[in-house]
Amino acid sequence: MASDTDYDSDGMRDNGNGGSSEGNGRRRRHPMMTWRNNLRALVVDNGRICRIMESGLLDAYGVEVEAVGTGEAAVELIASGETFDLIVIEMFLPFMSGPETARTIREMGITSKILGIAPMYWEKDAQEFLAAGIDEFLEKPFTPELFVPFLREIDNQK
Amino acid sequence: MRKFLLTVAWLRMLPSLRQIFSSLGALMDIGYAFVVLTGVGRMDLIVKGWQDFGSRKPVLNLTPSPSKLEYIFFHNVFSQGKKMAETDVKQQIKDYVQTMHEQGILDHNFENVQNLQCQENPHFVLEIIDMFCRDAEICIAEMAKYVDEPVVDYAKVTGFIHQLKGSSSSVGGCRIVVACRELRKATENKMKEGCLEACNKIKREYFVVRDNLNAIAKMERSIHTDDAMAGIF
Repeated sequence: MASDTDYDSDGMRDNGNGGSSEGNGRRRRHPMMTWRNNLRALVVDNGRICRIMESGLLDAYGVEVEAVGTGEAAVELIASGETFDLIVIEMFLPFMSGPETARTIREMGITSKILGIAPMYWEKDAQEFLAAGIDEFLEKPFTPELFVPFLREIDNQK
Repeated sequence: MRKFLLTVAWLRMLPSLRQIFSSLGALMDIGYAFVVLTGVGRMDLIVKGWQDFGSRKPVLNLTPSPSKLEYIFFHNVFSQGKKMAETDVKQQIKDYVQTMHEQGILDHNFENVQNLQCQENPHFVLEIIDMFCRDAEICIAEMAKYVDEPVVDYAKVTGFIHQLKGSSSSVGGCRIVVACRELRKATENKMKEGCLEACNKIKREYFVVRDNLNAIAKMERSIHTDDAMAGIF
């Protein structure tokens, strides 16, 4: 039976914060899109189906992806020196919430594009998340129709 | 003395016998090649081969000892059959998913799941369906438990709604998504009766999606079983 650990298990790193980074060692040979620059994305989502789909779709569109399940793991990854062009953060993370994670990342001086995602669009959630420093608030599912325009923008700016 | 003379006579006959047998052997080889290429006279092996293919048992021994021609013959027959079967099943899956779209049971997001299946991830659809069903059942059971409490912990229920809505929308379970929104509204308004009703609706919609996803999973499994069989050849 496939487990979250078994899927995309290349480069698994346990950072001791209840989260682990799933490296995308297994890249698609024929991505659906190619970019002028090498784009890297970080997906922060505690829902395993969502995390797998979000990172899988980004990977399918030619983005190098790291995926973690907690805000703490995301902060630790960035603090270790990893850089990302795009950071996707789920609103309702356990312990360190999505807005707290986004705020912490911004306080670290990270200027990358940060997208906040949530299962449902709720006005007060959107306002809280945007105030924490994200660039855009989106309702799930996180599909190519939503993220490709942001990737184009990032690619053009690099 | 007699035995010695008989032995000498026998030894003198051997070259002639060898010539006779080698001629017969050549004729047999020609005949053998003929029946293998045309299938005439080897119907018992051909039938056995198809039976084993149909019952998914590997054909490990072709008796008598397989010639290269026999191996090529059966390999071609099985490969052709496997390709036709796989194409049929893939078309069946496509038609089935289209029907699900038309009935509003699955939306286009299920195609994202299918598109992520590739050579590097040949079992992706099966894995996601399995994961979704397991996670959804846990969520629904927890939601029902908290909603049933005399004093409802609406925050906990909301947490599970978010999980279920997120995973359902990722796999295209649009009707579950709608039911989740209704439950979310009921929790916002702190209406226990509304929560109970919405919870039951989520269960009903989940069962419909689950049954249809399981049907797709069954078809996917049949393709992978055929792939495993082809690997033997």
